[in-house]
Amino acid sequence: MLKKLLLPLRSLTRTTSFRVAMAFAGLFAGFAVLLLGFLYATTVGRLGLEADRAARQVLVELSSIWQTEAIDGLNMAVIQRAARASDTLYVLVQPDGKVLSGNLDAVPLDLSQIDKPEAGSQLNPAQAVATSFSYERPDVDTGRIERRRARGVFLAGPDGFGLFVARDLGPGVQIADYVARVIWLGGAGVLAFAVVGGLMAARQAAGRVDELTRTTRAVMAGDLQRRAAVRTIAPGDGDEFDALTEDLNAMLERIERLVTAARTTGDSIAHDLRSPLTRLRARLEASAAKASSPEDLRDAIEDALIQLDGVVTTFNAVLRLSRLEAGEGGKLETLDVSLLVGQLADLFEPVIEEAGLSFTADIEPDLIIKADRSLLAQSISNLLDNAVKYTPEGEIRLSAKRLSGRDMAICIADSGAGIPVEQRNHVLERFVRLDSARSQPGSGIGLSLAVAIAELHGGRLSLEDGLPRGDGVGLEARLILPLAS
Amino acid sequence: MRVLIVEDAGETALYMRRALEEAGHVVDLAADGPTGEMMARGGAFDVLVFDRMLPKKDGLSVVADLRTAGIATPVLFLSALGDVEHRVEGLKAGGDDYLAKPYAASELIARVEALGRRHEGGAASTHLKVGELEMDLLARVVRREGRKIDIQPREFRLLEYLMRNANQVVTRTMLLEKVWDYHFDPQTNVIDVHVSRLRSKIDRDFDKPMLHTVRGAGYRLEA
Repeated sequence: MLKKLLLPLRSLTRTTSFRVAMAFAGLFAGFAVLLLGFLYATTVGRLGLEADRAARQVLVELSSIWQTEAIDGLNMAVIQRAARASDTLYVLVQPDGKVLSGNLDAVPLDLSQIDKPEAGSQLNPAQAVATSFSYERPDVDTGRIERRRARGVFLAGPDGFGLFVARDLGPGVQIADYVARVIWLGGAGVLAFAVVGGLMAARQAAGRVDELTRTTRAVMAGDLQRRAAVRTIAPGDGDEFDALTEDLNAMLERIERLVTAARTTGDSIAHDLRSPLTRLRARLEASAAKASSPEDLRDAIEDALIQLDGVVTTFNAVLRLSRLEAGEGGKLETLDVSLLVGQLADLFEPVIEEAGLSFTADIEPDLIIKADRSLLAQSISNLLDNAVKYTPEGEIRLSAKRLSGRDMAICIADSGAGIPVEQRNHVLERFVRLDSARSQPGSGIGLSLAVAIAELHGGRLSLEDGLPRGDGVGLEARLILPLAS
Repeated sequence: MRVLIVEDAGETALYMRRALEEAGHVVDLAADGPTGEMMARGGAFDVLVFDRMLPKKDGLSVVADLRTAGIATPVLFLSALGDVEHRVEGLKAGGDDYLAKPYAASELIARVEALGRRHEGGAASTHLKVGELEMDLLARVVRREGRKIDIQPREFRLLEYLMRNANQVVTRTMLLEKVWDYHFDPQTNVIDVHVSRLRSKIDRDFDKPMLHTVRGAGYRLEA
């Protein structure tokens, strides 16, 4: 039971948050002790110095009495003074060491260690021996016995007597002692708080890290849709964990996209290449079995080569589409679209006219965007290809124009078969070819590629009503792209 | 033409050698980067064909080093990486042309020959002449047998390229890349239509056709 409780505690004490909290608490405590020690030593030292001076002054006064009035006069003076002074302490000792008079029980010095001056020599207060000591006395107000500190000087006289005068260090020491005690206790309290606070911080951090760990483990185990829970915070208010969580989620988003792209690449290759490969195989098989002349065989092989080239083209388109959808490829540079569309109009005009359609290009000059020239050209070319393919008669109009706002549009309008309004979004999805288009050659990914290229440029592709034809309306593909600022 | 092929896939290399030899060229083979680099430095080749990915030292590094060493022999890169940025990388490393796998033998031969011819010089001339067909690049005038032919600007560029590569096969992809600077596969036959329009202008009123279609490969302008 206890072990169970202590185990998470032990793992918590190993966390970084806890260690940081402890390190700081230790640092503060160490600093506090140093500061306190310094403060205490200087305060007590100063008080001691003052008491020392006061005691010496009294000793000098008494020495002159001792000198002029001998031991009896001194004894008198000590008895008188001891009776009234509370902060000054006196002891007069006889040559045998017994206390003659004074207000202290004994001299707090080992008198046998002190050199005795020669008999008949001059009394010299400068030779006094100083000492710090503590003693007990009742408090003036409360009467409680308390231990106090004092500083005293002892002077041995040539007559064998000795005089000890001391001065209490006063209430300052008590205050210093009191402050020291408070700080010790406070420091212990701070340390205790630091331990508890550190554990709590560690637990909170551990909880949030746990969420991230659980998420990454779930993703590693194959749950690609899993995301770390995000706290609701005002933008810019998050801490480093929120930032980490957001980055992790963004990374998972990207990984999921890449994995999905890899998966759809496989699917697309299967979907788009299986049928042409099947046709190719059947054709070759039939020729191998039935061809009766070298000419038949050569025809079959040449036909197979053409189909194989088609397979390679589709394969390239699928790969390019997958890379675009995974957010790869494409280098956007400043490009004059008017120029590019003009060149493409030039490239396609003969083929459109050859197909018996009339062609007009209406291009506004100086449209500048950020684009990958090659990809954008491919996208427009795909749309023109489609227009030619699905327009049996009438016309195709290519235009490039500025829209209101910061956008521009490249429009390819035809008077062809058109697409019913309700199916327009559907055909922009991958793999979709309308039944009516199955008889036409093509892989059906041209439109998907155009969509992906538009998105790469921060734009979109929309399908609208095109030019009128006898009983209906053709299609207009509109590539909307943001103009360069 | 002497051609060095640096390609690690043995069967592909042999197939390429046979195709180029049948077209009348002398071919040497190398199977890895350092060997290819050594041979390219030592031999007098007209065109170098490098696979992008080679054992020991990749094709891009080898070609970059050859260029740094001052060897200017034209380089054709072959690569399974066919996207535009790969092409740009190849050209930046010092390649002169880039061909994505898989390719037709005719495409390979046409590009190798175009590179070899370009190296022979003459690119700076302002007057082109193929048989009785003449082009003045400054006045932008085309004449056949002295008669002026009315030609559109886009047909002018197409004809210029064909004349610079006269008597050679040029493929549709080469025309799209070199004349229009596009690197994708248009599904419709845009190039064919342009060529047939050009042909109607330069051949229609004359007895002998100059612009020929080479089946399964491309076009050839003959004197």
